[in-house]
Amino acid sequence: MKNFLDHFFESYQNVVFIYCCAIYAIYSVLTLFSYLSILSTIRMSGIRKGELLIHSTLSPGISIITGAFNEEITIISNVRSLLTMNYPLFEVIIVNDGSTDKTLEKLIQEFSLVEVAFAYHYFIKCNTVQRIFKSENAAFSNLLVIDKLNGGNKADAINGGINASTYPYFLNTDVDCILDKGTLLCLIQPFLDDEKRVIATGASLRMVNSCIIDSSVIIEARAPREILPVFQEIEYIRSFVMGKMGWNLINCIPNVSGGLGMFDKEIVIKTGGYDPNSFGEDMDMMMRMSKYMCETKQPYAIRHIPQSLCWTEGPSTLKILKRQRIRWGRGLYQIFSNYYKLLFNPKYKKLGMIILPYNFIFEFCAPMIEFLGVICYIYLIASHLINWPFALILLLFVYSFSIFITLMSIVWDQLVMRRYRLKDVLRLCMWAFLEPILYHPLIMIFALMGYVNQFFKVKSHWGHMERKGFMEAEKAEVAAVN
Amino acid sequence: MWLPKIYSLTSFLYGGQQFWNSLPFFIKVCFIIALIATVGIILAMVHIAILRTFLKWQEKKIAFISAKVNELLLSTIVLEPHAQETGMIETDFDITQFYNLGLSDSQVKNVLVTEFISYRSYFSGKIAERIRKLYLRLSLHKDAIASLYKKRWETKVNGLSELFKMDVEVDHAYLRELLKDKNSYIREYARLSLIKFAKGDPLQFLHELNEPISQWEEFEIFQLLQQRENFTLASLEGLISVDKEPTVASLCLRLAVYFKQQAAIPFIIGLIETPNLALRVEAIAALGQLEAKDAAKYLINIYPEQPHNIRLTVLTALGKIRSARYLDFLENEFFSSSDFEIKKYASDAIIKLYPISKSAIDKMSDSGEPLNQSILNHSLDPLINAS
Repeated sequence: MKNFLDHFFESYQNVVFIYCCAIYAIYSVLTLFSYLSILSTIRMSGIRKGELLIHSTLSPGISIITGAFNEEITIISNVRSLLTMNYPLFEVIIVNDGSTDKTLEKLIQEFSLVEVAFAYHYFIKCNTVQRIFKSENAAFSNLLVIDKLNGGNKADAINGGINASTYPYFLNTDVDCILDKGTLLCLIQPFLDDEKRVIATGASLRMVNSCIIDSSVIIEARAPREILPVFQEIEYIRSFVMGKMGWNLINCIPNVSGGLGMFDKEIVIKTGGYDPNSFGEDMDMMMRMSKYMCETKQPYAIRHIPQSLCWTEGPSTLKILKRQRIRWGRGLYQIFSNYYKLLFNPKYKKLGMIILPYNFIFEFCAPMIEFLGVICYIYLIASHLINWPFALILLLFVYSFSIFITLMSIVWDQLVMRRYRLKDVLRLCMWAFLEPILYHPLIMIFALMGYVNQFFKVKSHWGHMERKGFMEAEKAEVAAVN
Repeated sequence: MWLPKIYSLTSFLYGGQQFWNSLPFFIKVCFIIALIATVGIILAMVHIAILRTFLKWQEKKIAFISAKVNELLLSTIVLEPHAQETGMIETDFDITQFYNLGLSDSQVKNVLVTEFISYRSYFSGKIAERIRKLYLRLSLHKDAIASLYKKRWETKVNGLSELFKMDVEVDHAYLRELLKDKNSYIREYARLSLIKFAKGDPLQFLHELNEPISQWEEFEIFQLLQQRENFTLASLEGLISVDKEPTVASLCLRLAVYFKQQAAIPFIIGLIETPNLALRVEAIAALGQLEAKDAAKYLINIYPEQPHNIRLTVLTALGKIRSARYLDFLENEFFSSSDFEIKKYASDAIIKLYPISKSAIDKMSDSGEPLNQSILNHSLDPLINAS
């Protein structure tokens, strides 16, 4: 037995080494691709000005759809913020997803809402819609509030909103996210300017945890101060700026975040809308849309823009982070159990030959390979089979390269996002040194827990994100004085 | 005293060299990559610090120049008592104040051009013209013209865009040459410039155009023509055609609607035969917007064999055409169809025909069918249709 284990773990070392080299090679290429992609965006920003859309009578309409479940504290300022988007033709659809607090009452009172005789049709499946409200105040004529029974997840709420939407494109966001006023102008641009049919566009998300907010507007952008949000911020920068911008260059974006994404409504409806049973409803939606486009032989593109347009509150406690990441892990597992037939299937072109294989080998398998690697490491140490000089050199290689990639992402990010003070950016760089040691192992374990839960079909619900709330401008002033 | 130190260093290095030689190749590679990554980490952090410090300094400088330029523009162009008079720039106006900003500095020039373009987007008429004259007197256009002959595509496009926004005409022969450029953005801006400065029919070259144009460019051309003074749209014959590139035909459809070109209706009807469904939808919608009564019968004839979304567009178009002759058809669709959307679009079209459709609305209201009632109430609700 011991001989077998010795042999197995020694061979496994080679597997891990090759895997590690492959992933780093891909990251290096992505870093280069993302740089080219960002440069191209910067060049285009000088040529394509959003003002054209503001003044054009041809600008396509956009529906902003967001679900609200027990959001009575922030709902009014968040809806007001959505209503002041800088775009000539849009509607805001708030889906009150069976809130048990005063979310709906507050909306009715604040926006002078009255029930209307809306002929609601279930183009895509969602839980029962009870009432629909519109405002008597002409200033809020583009606000529509849907009161529906709780569907247990965001997918159901968004489906409810899509059914009532008027315009050909919709923006899916969370009601507690803070959006940049130019979000619609930026996200619609790829739909109007691409040779292929763009089916979805996403943008970078940021942590709002330490920002100073006034009436849902960011007064001062600050990098998170707390330990968990700061690691998530680093993770987001790497994922959005390096990952998605890199894939953007070769039209291989696997996913548009559920926090902020603009979609072609026609394709979403044709593919049956969001799947309420999916734990990763955003990636599942993209898979189905891409699959549909491949099967109907329509050339398509999914785009990502590097600007940070959406600010969201990241989990600041381990309990919430764990719940979120377990859900993401389950979602990824579901993706590969639902779409395994597409893997390495040339019929699905880039989706089957690049996007899914990459995500399977380097996203889905990574936690398992890493976990087994750690066990292997412990076994080799315990059996005195480890060659310490070699091990330390390899550790230095892995550690330094991962930090290098993270820092390059921060450098690229600085080309487009300079709202943080230099001090904050350098602080992020410093935290990047601790991320592989403190944060990454946690994420790996939570992902594995997600896989196990999904494998054994452990019952779970989405859970409500407990929010600490934003740092309002007044509170920040008091804090500064004290 | 120092001899032992040198000895120990040499033996350390020698030991190090021996250790290095004993390492397998892949470990050596990893070690080298780790060293490179470490240097990269340091450089990345230094780069961020330098970049941010430099950009902060640059932002301050630009803000300072920008404030000065604004002050000058406001006092000499916008708020000047004779602002509405023409010819001021050439005779009375002292441009030395602008020269004193230091035009040899490219940043000053960039700020000036940016501010000029921005002011021209806020002001029209004589103020905009005075800014253009100032731009020419300061010879800022020379840099933009020079950039048209540079190699980098974005430099060319920026040059074209600047001249375009400042109303400075570029040699048409050269623009026609640029129409053949391999970069699509250069071709796009060449087209826009040709439309803007065309002496005769600005859309003449669309006849030769066989490549797709982006929606963005469509918007740009549309806006350009909307802003053109004393513009009358020439005949769109040959442009609104099944044989034409669909995006060009789509642009012409929008133009026909905007400029209410009734003469284009026969060509639009001809376009309905296109196999491109999106273009067919646009053509039918255009007929509705043009209130083409003669086309209504044709639309009803083709209706049964059309796909679902085109049927919906036909119903909307019939509502806009507002002809009592087709009320029976709409009513029939409302009552006989089991499709929710067909019913809803038919209902909307019937409501648009009010008061002609009063009896039909009463009939729909009395039908007792809950779905019919719900759809009718939806169409009649002013709040729902307010946005």
